[in-house]
Amino acid sequence: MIAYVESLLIFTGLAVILASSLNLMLGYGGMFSAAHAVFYGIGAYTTSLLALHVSASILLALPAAMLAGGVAGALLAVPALRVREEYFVVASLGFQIIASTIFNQWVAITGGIGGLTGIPPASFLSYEVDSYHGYLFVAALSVAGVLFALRLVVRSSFGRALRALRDDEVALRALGWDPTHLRVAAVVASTMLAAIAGVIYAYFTSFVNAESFSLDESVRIMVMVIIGGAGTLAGPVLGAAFITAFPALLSFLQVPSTALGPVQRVVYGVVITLLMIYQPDGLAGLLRRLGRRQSAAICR
Amino acid sequence: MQLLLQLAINGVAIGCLYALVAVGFAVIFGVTRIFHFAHGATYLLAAYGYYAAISIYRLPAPVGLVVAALVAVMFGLFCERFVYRPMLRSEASFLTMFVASFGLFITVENLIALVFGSGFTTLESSLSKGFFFGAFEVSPVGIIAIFSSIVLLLGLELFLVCTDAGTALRAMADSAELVQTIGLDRNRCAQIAFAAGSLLVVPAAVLNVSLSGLSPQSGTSMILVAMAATIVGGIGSLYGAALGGVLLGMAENVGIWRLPASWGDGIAFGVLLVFLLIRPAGIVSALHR
Repeated sequence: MIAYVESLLIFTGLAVILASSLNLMLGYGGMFSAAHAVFYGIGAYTTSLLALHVSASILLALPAAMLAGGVAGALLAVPALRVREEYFVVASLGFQIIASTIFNQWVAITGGIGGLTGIPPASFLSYEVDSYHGYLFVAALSVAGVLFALRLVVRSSFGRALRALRDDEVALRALGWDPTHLRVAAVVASTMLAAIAGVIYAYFTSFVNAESFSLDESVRIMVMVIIGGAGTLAGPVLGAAFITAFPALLSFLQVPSTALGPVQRVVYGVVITLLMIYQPDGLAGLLRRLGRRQSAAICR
Repeated sequence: MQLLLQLAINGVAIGCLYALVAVGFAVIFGVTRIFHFAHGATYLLAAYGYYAAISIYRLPAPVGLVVAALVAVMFGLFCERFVYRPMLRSEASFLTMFVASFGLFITVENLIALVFGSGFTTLESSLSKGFFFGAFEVSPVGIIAIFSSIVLLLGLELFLVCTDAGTALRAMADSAELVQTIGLDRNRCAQIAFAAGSLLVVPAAVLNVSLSGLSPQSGTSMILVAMAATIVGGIGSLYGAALGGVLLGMAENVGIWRLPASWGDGIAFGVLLVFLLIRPAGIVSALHR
């Protein structure tokens, strides 16, 4: 039971990293990417390949995965930035489909559908991380690091310029910023952070295949950001926790195990549609409104 | 060489079906500015509606066609009335609408998997058996696909140019505010666009059941290809969307010449990314300027 809770917490941590990093380009930069799982996957594959063939040191895997994720992010940014913002989402869908095809088909590198197995546990200097507690600690540390970095970025002049870009590109140009540079920088920063989640995933599960980094996963990350509240620091954290805990919440439903998958996904689909109709500014917006109502009641 | 031509012929037939779905998507998007991802769900509902009518209830094919059309149009109108319209009223952003649409799609896809099972089904009919035309094998379904898409697209063009409702739709595609100013009902225009767009999916769904089979997962690749075709063709252009659909169908099939079949979707989207690099405004605007 403790192991179950710990692994749920680790996966929530990964989801927080993914959703918060996507939020940088989506919520602050206004670029709707449905390809975030690709960079998660690239981080995981880089880590697995290094651990299998070179060394399982996390000090090697972390920078390598972030570099690979950033390079792939630049590859997405170049064609995608040539279209109007709404079409960025389709360009990113295309990027996701191509990446999924490569993950599945490039057997020599990715192991194809069978994936890569037997990835050794992470090592840090001479210490080996081989328990759930250990990974929970690593995940918690990474979440803290990523959130701290994002907080710094969002509050820097770069972060302000990015928000200005989302709200009024012409005004930003007038101030002398180059929108293309800003966008590419935001995408690369966001994808580098996403690769970190892949590093932990690969070590923790010791098994990596394309299914974990599919379009479904990208959409799940996107949904976390939107449901939580895009453009806020707390929103993606709330959204990630909600969406990760969701299947666990549904397990009380008494349905035969063969139908469990589709039933869960029907409920998931209905819930996101209803949330978008009735609570479009996300859980963060809901909390803010409740807080305001309460303070109004106190003032009265 | 012969194999290549044969693949190109197959590609045109499939491409015409893509074109119908893509034009349906483009009509809805052009008029309402809604990124209707659940268009893929419309496709699934029409296909399974037809499948259920024919192979479960043993109804004649024309009745099956009517069932499919009714289901598709009703779903399109439902989306407009109960999902998008309440969101437009609260001035929801593009992204919230897109995610809501995605939620609808996931719901329908899995409901269908619950009802019909998630396996792969085909509908054997005498029409899907190919015959030889010279050295090439052609199936009647493929020919019907090509002809029906040409007829339907001409019909759509006539509707948009010659009727009052069509003129209203074109006006709304230009400026929704102006349409309201001159006293036309925006919601009615949106309803007509959703009905027309959903109707265009029906022949594609029905024919594709015989041409390449049916599974709940097929909705995803259908809507993805349709969205890609819309962009490759040129944003806001119906001809472009149709041309894009045919082009992607060809690319997918010709690609099989040298690559394994599972690369199909990847190839289609490779074409999309190449287009974004060299002609971000699409085929049609490239022809015009």
